[in-house]
Amino acid sequence: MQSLSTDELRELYDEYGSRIHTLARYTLGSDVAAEDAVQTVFLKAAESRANFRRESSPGTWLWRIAVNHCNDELRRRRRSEEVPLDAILGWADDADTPEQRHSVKQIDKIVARALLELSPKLRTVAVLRYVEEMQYDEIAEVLGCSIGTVSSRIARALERLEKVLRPIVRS
Amino acid sequence: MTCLRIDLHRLFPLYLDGAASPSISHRVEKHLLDCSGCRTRLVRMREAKNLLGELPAIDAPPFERLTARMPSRARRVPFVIPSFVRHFAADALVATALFLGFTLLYTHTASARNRPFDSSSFRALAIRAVANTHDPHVIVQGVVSEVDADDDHEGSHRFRLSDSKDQKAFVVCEILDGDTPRVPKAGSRVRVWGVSRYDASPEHEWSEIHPVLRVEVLP
Repeated sequence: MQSLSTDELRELYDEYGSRIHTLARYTLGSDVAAEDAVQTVFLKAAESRANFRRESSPGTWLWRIAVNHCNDELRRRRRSEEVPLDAILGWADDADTPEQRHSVKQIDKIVARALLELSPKLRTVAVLRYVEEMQYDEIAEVLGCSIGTVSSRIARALERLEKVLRPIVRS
Repeated sequence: MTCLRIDLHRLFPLYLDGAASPSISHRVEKHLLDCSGCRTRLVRMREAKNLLGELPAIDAPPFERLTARMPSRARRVPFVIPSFVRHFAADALVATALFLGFTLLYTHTASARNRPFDSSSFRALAIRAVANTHDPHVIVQGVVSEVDADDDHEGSHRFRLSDSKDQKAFVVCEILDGDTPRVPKAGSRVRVWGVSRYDASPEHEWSEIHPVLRVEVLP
């Protein structure tokens, strides 16, 4: 299997690095986990150039790797009953630079924390649609499901989020 | 009273985001005129959507930091698996996957079949009576005269259920994507549990069981 050259990898990283970091941050719930996820996703991408060539869209292929990796990571955590550090210390306390520590404002911290109340499936689809601003057909392609299923999951995610956030929104 | 139109609730995000087709928008808007519960539901969904949309994108670390953390490719020694082992492993993998797939399917179907179904709130009706009922939960019985899978890009599966004595009397049954009931074969006699409604769109104008909650194939 061929690997991506450093230049090819850099090009891919420039285009998708921040977007995949954002997805990982909001689905996994911490900067450290997100950075690890980005590294793993691009490492997998670098090592499977053959798949990259076959895909009609490198973006879709990369998003799939990212979504699958985040889901695997959440499953692994559930199996080992691992509690993320920021769940104990408070959101973003595991950040190691001042920029990271202040990267998420107070209200955003609350919304980001509420996202973690959703199941991984609902969390992923909500982030892809409203944070990454992907279209329904793009999300359906990445997740391998119909547009109806995407909309159905988003409906459940929004209803659940609104319930969690209602006291804050109303105040 | 809680609105039972889960077939429409699932389309609300498409409607909110302006991504719904004209026919879906028409269905949603028509329902919203009569359902205050869903108007509230839609407002709440929009509030959650707006809050999510405020979340900032987060910059990835510099590329150099990423590559510094990657293991050096030079240190890795390539390991080549002999081709006959690769072929054997692939065959074994396929066989194992098929075996596990069939086992899972069998156990899932068996458990679903054995699960008790609460039919106390459902009322048995003749197919022609569905158009006149106000009961949301109904049971109808008939012959599957037509099967139409995933024709509207919403991921659902439709079949037409006709009265065995009067072929002109029918209801359109819709199984939502991801739901348990399996689409029955054309020509089979079935009993269907589900939510009754009337689809008044000009191209339809028929009674529906939507969504279908259970299908029982009769001998």
